[in-house]
Amino acid sequence: MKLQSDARAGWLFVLPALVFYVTFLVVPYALAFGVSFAKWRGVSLHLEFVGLGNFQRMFGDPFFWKALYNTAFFTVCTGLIVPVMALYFAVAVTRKLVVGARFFRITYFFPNLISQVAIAVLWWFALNPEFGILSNFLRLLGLADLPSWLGDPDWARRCVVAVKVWAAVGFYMVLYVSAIEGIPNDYYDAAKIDGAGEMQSFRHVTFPLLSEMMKVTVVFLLLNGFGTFDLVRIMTDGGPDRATETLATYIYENAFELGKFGYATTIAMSLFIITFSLALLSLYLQRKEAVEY
Amino acid sequence: MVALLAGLYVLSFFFRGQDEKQLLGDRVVEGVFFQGGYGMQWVWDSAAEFEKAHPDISAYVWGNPRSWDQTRPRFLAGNPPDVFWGIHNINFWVNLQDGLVAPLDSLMQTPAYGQPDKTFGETFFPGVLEQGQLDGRQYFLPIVYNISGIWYNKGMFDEHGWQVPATWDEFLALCELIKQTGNGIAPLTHQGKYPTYFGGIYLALVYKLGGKELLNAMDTLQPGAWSRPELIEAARLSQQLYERDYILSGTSSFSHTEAQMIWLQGKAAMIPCGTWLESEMINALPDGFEMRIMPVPGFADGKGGLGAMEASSDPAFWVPTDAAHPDWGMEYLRIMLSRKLAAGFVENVGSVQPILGSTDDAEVRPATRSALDAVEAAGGETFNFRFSSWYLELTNEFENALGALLNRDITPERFVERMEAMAERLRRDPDTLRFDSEPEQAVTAKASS
Amino acid sequence: MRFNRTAIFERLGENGRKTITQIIFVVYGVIVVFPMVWLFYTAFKPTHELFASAWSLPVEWKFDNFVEAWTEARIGDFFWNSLFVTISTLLVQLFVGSMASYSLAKYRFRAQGIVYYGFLAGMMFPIFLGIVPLFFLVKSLGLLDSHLGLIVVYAAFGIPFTVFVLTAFFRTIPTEIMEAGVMDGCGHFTLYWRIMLPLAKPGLTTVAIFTFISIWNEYILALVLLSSSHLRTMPLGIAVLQFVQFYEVDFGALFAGLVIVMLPTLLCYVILQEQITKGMTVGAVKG
Repeated sequence: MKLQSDARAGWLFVLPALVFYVTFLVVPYALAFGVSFAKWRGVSLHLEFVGLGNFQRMFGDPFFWKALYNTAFFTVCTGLIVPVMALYFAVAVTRKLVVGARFFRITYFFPNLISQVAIAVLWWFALNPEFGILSNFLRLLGLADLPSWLGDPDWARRCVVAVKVWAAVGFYMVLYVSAIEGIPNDYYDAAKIDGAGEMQSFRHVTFPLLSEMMKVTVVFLLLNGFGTFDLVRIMTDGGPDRATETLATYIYENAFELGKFGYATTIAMSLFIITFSLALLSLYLQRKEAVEY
Repeated sequence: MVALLAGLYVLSFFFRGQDEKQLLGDRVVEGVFFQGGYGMQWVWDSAAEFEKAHPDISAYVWGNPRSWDQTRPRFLAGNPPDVFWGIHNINFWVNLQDGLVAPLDSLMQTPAYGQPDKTFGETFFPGVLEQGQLDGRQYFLPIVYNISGIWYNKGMFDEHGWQVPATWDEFLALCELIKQTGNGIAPLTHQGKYPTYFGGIYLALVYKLGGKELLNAMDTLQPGAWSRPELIEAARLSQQLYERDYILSGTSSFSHTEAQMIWLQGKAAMIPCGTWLESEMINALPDGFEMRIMPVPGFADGKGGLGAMEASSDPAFWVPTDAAHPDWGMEYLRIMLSRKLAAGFVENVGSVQPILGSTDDAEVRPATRSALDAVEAAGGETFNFRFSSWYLELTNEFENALGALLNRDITPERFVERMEAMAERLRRDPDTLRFDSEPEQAVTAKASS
Repeated sequence: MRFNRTAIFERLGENGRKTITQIIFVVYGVIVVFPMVWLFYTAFKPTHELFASAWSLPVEWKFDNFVEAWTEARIGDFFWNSLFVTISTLLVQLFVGSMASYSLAKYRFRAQGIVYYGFLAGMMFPIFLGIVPLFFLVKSLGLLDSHLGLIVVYAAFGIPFTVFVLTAFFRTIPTEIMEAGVMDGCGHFTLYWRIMLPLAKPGLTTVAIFTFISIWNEYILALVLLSSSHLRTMPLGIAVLQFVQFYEVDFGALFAGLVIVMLPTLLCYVILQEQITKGMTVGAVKG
């Protein structure tokens, strides 16, 4: 059709979006690449190029490694727990194993609607050893000598994972429910005829057809997990003693608290390289299998 | 649905937050201040006084608990306020190095507000101004002459007949006594979430063991200063308080206001803090509650005085270089730190500003009076660690490591190892601004002019 | 082996399994909903009552905290700010993004593929990478500390997702409709505006809903690009309120502020949840 091959019109339509995109995304990312090789206090435009100096410094920085470890810990834990829980819920709901499925579908999604900041403040208060509902609830059950949830390094980490899971499960459950509902019933009927019970029909029908989505989920969670900032910053501020420090909060600290913009960008570059590699890796792994139906 | 959204959208355009400063017109001086323990009334008072003295200029002043975090982008963008005070994550000296701070020398030579026979500079306690100087030039002014120590519940002490201890051993005996009393009263609590408060006790112990010489060495990052045995001993003594169960359970998670509130409720007998304590908790003070301060008890054979108090006038206020009206900012400081307003500060806020004569003109509260008396009782011997103002990263690591130490996650040896490692890191880092000068003479609370 | 495990599972019996599952669901349901419910009714308590007993329902249901949050803590201002910024972003983003998607889906021009994948690549880059240079870029454009600057940046960051969803959407619209439009005398823009865009409503709605939720709750970019207190959006306001409450120990206002932040999105969801779920299905089928 003639209209469609009018290249000029085509370009004109794309232009505004392109301008926005290039200016505010591409340019900063490109600049970031350069800045990571410099020292910059951000006061003037004066940058002092130090080659790989920042990277060297980063490798020798124990706080960086700690932040990296924490970030990986949060991301991996969340990436494993969330899909499993969401899948369990989704299957139970679609296979009519629970009463009030519709209610659960609606309410489980609630945490996804509220900002990470609000979630962080809510749980910060709920996990308060004195006034918070968790401690009070456990005391009601008779437990004493409770740990200081966010004040203890190990517990703080576990709490961060728990809250991240709490905030994410609903979304994936709804997603899986939609996907499962898209599976034609014939498959399940056929399985039943072959004598399969619940478990078996799950293993042989549901799971294989969902595997694509599961993989995407895991990838998505991994990519997102590496950017954890809001929650940690508000709930624990990286503490206690950097036990919950993530790469993102460490980058922010270096840039906007210590004024080390160059070094902060270097760490951000590393964060990017990690996430990008993970994304590529997952894309490669996904090429291997694709189940059609 | 869409109509509703459209309507709300139009409304939002008009109901958006208004820039109050713009509403005041052209002649505005802007001051941004840390909003915390001292409250904001003193800010409003100083603004009112400024506008009285300069009816043609409006004073737009506001506060925020994270004033530096919130305002920092404005500094980077080149439109900072005219006068500023921030306390968290701020390194005054780095800001100075970055060219963000205007020199105040001309201000110091101006006649004082309300005391034309003296220069502004002459109205300060002796020795205080040096803390805000670099290479002889004045850049920062203090807000308060702060005295820190251990606050105790006088009513509770009187009721049980407990005596204020003079030495650390007596202190431990007192803690044991309080613990045995039962009633669920713990000897000590502290602001667990912010180990820097307990740091007051820790550093006092270090000073009392090692004296001025050790303090100087630590402040100037002398190699090995942070691994000295006195620091290990002080760490051991700190942990011992937990081991002997003298600390109220749950302390490690208390924010400063929570811990202080719990102390006010009588669940603990003592708490470390500075002279801002009363003002900070003014809304939660039970009727008839009497608070008094005691020095962190020392050692008879220690190099630092038994009853020495931590006292300092740390840098606080400065006028940004790129301010729209730096001269008005300076004028604001001249008025805010005048004898008249300092007297008001002492009466209303309860803490002492290092302006001579301010305590004479005002009714000093008993809590504050106890602090001034304690300094006098120590023969005026005070101490002040400067590293917290000089090295932000060292201070952060100190707070983190101290928290871990108190949590019994690390040993005293590991604690000093970490501190020494951070000191070494800063020594090696060519970008860290170094202070090799000896701190100025101890600040004395010479209240009368 | 396999046979045994599943056999045991089967042996629990349909009812046994259902009961356990039901219990798990109810427990998790409580974990999800109760904190929010608790937040809600605690917001009606004065602070000292909160400290006295964390659990209990308020003695009296007072609106004081809400009034204080809305006026003194300026949550009201932040609410309007957020609304303004979010809707403005939506308008810009949807307009600019749909034009680009339409073009990429229906037109043919050179380097089209590069542009398309270029846009998509943006979804893979963490915000943190660009945040420092972005700050200074926005500053040099004079857009720092302004709603305009924030809107423009948000719109830019939203373009990859918009293009991703809408391009696929436009592709499904048959070319015949375009031809019919041309025969009626439509020019390029009229065709887009009058015919294609309305047909893309479901796609637009999906993008709008997701973008609304994400901008409404966005924190880090607002934190970095805004500094004046009167311009703050809700997440920023809540965060600052939290700092303030550390000192003033007036948690009542903080809780009320949180309720005000959460309520709009929760209510919208309960009312619109059909559409939202459908929108997610669109994404699910595509992805």
